[in-house]
Amino acid sequence: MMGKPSSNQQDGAFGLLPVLPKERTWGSFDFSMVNIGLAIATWSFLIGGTLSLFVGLKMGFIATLAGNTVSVLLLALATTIPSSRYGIDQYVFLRSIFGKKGTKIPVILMVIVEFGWVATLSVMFGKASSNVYSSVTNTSTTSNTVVIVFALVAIVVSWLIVAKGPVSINWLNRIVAPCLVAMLIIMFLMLSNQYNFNEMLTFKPLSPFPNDLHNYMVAFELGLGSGFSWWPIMGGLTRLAKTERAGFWPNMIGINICAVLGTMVGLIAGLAVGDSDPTKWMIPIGGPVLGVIALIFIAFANVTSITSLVYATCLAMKQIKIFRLLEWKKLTFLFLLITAVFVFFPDQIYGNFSMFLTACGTVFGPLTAIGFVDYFILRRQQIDLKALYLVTPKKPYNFWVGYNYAAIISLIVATVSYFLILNPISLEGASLFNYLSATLPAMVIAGFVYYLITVAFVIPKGLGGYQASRQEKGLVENKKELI
Amino acid sequence: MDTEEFNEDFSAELEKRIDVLTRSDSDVKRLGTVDYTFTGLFIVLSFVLLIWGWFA
Repeated sequence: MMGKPSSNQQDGAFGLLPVLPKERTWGSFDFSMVNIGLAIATWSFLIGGTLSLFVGLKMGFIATLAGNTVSVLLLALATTIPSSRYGIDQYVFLRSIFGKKGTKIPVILMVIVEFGWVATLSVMFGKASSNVYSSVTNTSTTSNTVVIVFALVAIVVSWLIVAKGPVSINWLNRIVAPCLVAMLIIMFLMLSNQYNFNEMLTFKPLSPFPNDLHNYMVAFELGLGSGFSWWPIMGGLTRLAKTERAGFWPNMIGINICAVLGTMVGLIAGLAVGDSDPTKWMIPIGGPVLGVIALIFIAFANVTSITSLVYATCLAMKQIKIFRLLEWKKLTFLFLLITAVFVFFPDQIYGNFSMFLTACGTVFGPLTAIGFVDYFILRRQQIDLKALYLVTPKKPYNFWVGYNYAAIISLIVATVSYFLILNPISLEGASLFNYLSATLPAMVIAGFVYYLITVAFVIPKGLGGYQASRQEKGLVENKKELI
Repeated sequence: MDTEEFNEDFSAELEKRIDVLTRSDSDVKRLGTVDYTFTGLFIVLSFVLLIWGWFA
């Protein structure tokens, strides 16, 4: 018989303690299911619908696959490797980059974005359920009241699941994720029944810019943005992965391949029907029975995504003292309670979806670059785990009064560069954008500035514990040579 | 976060866990490290795909 988890085990899973290998619950299969559950949500269809404004199927597929693969791999390197190796939350790891107090900066950025995402998903649940309700009762309602009521239901159900922790999320994904893959295939078949592949290739974008290259790069940029949108949560999730491989490669299955497939279904539907909202085209294309079933699954797909988002976000909020002291159930309740306020404005939330997406590329791309440069180049994959938590004699991660200005300055410079290259709201930008995108140059700038400041100022002052990382790496290599 | 903020139990548990995770024969270090060659290859292929798209 399994015993009740001890309070320390619970602290490992829900709190800040590093998770031990024996406590980790996700192997490659389980984490792939979690990833698929995250990826196949209405957002991938909505991204596809947005793409249909600019590109056709062929160019949309190439741009999305390229953008999503690059971004998912880079963010997985920067977040999942250290978190799964040391069993620590991403935001504990970020203390080695932003400083112990400075970590609050990415946490606050992340929480703001996640309020938007969770509210968007809840509203999507509400819209899908509202359409099911209209179809079943044979009524046509334009009122938002039903949407709001169902969105609140999504929030309550999500809280009941996430309050019980990662094990319940695990079970939910084991059941829902395979059904969602089946649903994705059925949805594609529904579209294939109406249009053959050659017809799909001839669909024209709905509202493109005059320059084809610009449209293509906008699609690539949205692919990057959708990939980087996972930055806030992947480290928090992969601390529960049993191995580094189990924390890394499932990202390619879930938030890369499945997300791209979901996006393509949204793109085809958007091109065919001329509407980017998947909850609008399912019943007309699939008929009353299949359409309603698809809508129900889409609704539940959003719940799986909400639970994973809330788990990782609340874990990150524990970086801030007042939230650290709150019980897990109360913390998750508080987060969802605030989100509930947003769902009373469904049109504003739903209409600003693209803003959340572009915000992800603007901020999370540069954060990924800074993390990559710090962990792989400057620290050579060695961090002082004890110093992340405790006051050790040299206080390496205190930097300047708790803040690493190198990371803060690099992030600001890169974000400003992004805005100079592309306006993320209108998606119009400098000619440079048509060849380099906006996120990639911003990332290069972030990484370069961070490296320069660190090498020129941080390391010479003996801050950040970089010498210790290099010495430790040298010792390990020498030991290997001796063996 | 400073040591003073933790209670004794928490600090002791933390030290114990850090010890396990930083041991050279730690399960996590021994099992399942990622092959960066494939990671790099996928990134390069993605850029090749992107550039091909410019001309497609």
